[in-house]
Amino acid sequence: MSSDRDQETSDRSQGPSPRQHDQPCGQESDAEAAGLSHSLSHRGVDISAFYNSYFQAYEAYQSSKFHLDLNNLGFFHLDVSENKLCSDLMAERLCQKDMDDVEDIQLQAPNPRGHPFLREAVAQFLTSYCSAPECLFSRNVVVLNGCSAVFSALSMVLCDPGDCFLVPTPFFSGFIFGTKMCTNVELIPIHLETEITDEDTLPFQLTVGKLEQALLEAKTQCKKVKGLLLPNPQNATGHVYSQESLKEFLEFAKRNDLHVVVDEVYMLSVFDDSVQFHSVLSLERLPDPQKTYVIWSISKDFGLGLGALYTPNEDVAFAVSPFSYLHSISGIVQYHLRCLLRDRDWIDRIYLPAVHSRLRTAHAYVITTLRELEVVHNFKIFFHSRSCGLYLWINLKNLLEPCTFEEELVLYRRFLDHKLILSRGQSYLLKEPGWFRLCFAENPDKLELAMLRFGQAIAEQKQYWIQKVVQYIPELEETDSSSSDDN
Amino acid sequence: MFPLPQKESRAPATCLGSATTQDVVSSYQDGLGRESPGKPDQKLPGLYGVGDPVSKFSSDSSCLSSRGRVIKWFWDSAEEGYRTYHMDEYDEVKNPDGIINLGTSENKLCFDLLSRRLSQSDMLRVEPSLLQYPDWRGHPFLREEVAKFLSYYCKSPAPLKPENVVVLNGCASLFSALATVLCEAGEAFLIPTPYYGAITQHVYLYGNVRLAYVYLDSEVTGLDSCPFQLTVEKLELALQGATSEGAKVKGLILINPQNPLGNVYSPEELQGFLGFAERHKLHVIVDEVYMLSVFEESLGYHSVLGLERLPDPQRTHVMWATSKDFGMSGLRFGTLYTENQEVATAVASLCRYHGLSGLLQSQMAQLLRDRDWINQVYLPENHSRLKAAHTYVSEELQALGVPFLRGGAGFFLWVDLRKFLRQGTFEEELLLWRRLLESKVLLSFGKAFECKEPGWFRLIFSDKTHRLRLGMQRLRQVLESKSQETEDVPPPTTPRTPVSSADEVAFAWSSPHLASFIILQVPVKPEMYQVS
Repeated sequence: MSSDRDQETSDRSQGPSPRQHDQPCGQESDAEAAGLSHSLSHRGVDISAFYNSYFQAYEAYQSSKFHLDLNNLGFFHLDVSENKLCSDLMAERLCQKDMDDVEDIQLQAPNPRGHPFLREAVAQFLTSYCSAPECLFSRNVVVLNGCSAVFSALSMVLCDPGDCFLVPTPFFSGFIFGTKMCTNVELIPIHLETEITDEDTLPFQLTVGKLEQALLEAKTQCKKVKGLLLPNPQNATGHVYSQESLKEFLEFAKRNDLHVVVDEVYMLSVFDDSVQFHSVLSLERLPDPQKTYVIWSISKDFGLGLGALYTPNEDVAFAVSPFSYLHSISGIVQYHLRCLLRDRDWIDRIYLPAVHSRLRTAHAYVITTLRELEVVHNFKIFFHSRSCGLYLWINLKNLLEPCTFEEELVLYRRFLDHKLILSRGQSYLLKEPGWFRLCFAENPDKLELAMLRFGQAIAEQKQYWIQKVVQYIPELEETDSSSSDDN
Repeated sequence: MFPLPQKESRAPATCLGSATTQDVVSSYQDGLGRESPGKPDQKLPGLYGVGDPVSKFSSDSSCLSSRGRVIKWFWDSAEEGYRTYHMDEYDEVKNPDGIINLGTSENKLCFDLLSRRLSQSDMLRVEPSLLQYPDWRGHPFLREEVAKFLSYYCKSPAPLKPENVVVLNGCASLFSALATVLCEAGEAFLIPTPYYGAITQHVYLYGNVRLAYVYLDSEVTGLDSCPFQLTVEKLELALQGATSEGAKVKGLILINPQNPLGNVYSPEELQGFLGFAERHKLHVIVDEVYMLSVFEESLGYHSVLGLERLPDPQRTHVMWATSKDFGMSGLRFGTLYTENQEVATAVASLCRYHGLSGLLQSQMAQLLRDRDWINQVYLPENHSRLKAAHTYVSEELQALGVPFLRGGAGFFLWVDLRKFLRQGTFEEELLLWRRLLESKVLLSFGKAFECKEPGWFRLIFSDKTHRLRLGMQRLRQVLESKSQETEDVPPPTTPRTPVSSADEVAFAWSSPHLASFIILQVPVKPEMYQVS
């Protein structure tokens, strides 16, 4: 799921050493290695171990962030999937007069589901930006402190322990951390085709056929599938689904009596004006409204933790309420959010245009840099040019020899050696090695420096690749070293 | 697009299960008068019990999973009073006949001071970096401030360390996280009753952890020196009993100052309880959320972190939050202090689900750092207002002839309304509670605190005078009419004969443990005490 779970960290107590735990899917061995604890329960041990293995470099990043003046040897986290481009605008907006008011209600005991004033603001906001055909009701809104929390609460009330949700890849395997550890819900990946055949092929394309297949496979393994988690826009490519596609997916869910949780977290990040985003809430008629849930978040865009759930199912909205204490948003932040969401003028005239423009620029810059690297190092990088979202999936398989996950790991570590944190495909449950995720929503000067390091890492990798290729050429192995300069 | 609901489409947002605060009366038990409530799963009366949060659950059909239906039912049971309250909240101008809330434990006396402080310019500085993903355990600058703050106010013998601090969005999350990392599903924590009932939910929702009760009596017997006194002996017996019932007890929860009793444990008592836990290798979770709300100085509060030596530091975990002491339960900021790095790390692993925005972290650090404002402005004024409100309500209760525990910490009085019940049952308790609610005053009934004896209520006094006055007036009206009923129709199996105020005696003890007096006005019961 595309959201604040997409981070990698390591255990703080062990210091910044992202290299130490590099097994995104090795949860079993980590848990075993952790051994028994005198203090923690088994699940407590598992929680720490899972966290260590899934969230690796985040810690290194936090303890040694790049700073132009203070720490220019620090880490660039090019994959934390947050939009740093407009923090300045947001900071400025948050200092304005209307944010100053501290009223009693902000300090008072919270209303479960969020203060009515915020839920009302969210309902109106979504009605407008999702182009809902009718006004959305605030009583169908629940606000928690992030979309992980929303999905976690939903999993608790929609699923029994051991039930499953289908999720298209790529999705961050660290997300399994929350669902497994806290809610005991299994996420079954729907593996999407990542084979790049030509320029026009859209990788990671979700179709109803793939949904049917994944469901069938799950059933043959006797798994109880309760729902489908659908990112919209598409998680990896930023591809925006048409209304027809959305309807097809929802019809599929209805046919199979599945809940559909639509993750529209990147709704506001469509920076290509020619592309029209369609929210599920814009559909004239939902096939199964009582089993449709939309998650939206502004954490990506606004930097304030908010996860909103919208569902016509009042039973579910009510059942999610008790989780609001555990995933609560501070009253002051709720107030700020309300002010922001209501300031349509600022959002439409200042913030969104700036966000989109800066995203376009950053995106174009990264694409250009990648193309240049292709020329300089004479190899092809596959990627799909995106129109929304904050990151790019690039395939560097042409620099892996052989093209395996082990070699992918080597490259991942090389980036780390250059103080760059990217995410690699195996962590996202991709079947084909070589994919890396790069978030380009970074300020221009930092992005430039980061891409410089990226280039350096690529250059090194190219040299390494050459050596590996040479090793595999039998004739060269048999000749004297004097002939090794053939290539 | 969405089918219109049956109800009016723009119904107020607060109508559906929207009430309640963290410190709510949560009675997951079926104490709602539908069936005889009883105690959950208790085989032997008196000393202990093991909670089964869903023993009275009955299913209904819906989209929810089985687990979801249970959660919904749990929540529904807890919400009746607060739902009703939020639909008819008292407002001096807009709704003078609305319900006065004397049930939610919230300090409404100092919003003026807090708003002023939080509106000052140092609180409003927003650095762009604060808007980015935070360090989930809590920014170092905040954890340093928390360590210094706790060192100072808990009077720790040595400075506390930032690396032992974890911050999250409130104590509810801390209970949930600790339950998850210290226990397997189905295991239990020992907890003396009466206790703040919402903890049941906090440890159950994600953690699936139960509570094993150490039932305390109002009757002072044996070596007890005050009502509802916790002793090591009682802990031992309860642990034995719970274990014999098959419960796997992993820890002990202590709330100090105590909610709902409003009292504090002495250092000797704390050492005793911690020693008990150490002998049995139990974790101890100490909730000190009312640490700075001890307005009766003579009580002499001691934090666990102020003890010279902890019997088992690796199993001692202390939590604190700003919600009570700084009167801002809406702000959602809680901290854990533990020397056990494994536990701290495991809890921190869950922090991303209970995170605090960078902005709030910055503001909290500012607040905690402002020792001058806290010591010279806030605390003195807060204590003075709490004391005044406490005095007012105490006097009203005394005039009404209602016994209560004096307390001296927190925002509540633990009030004995047993004589107003026709019979000493939880059904009667609930009926009285409903009657009060119908008369537009909300209290919390004792069953929600797993009090063994029906008839105890928690009354919150930390509110403005005009609301207190109105609330007490309404309480008086109900109690007076109840008294009348009780006298008119003597209950068939009442353990006591009806009393009139002339028979009531003010009886004061000087407790060897407590520096202050506890004043308990009780009906005459000759075998219980001597007339002084």
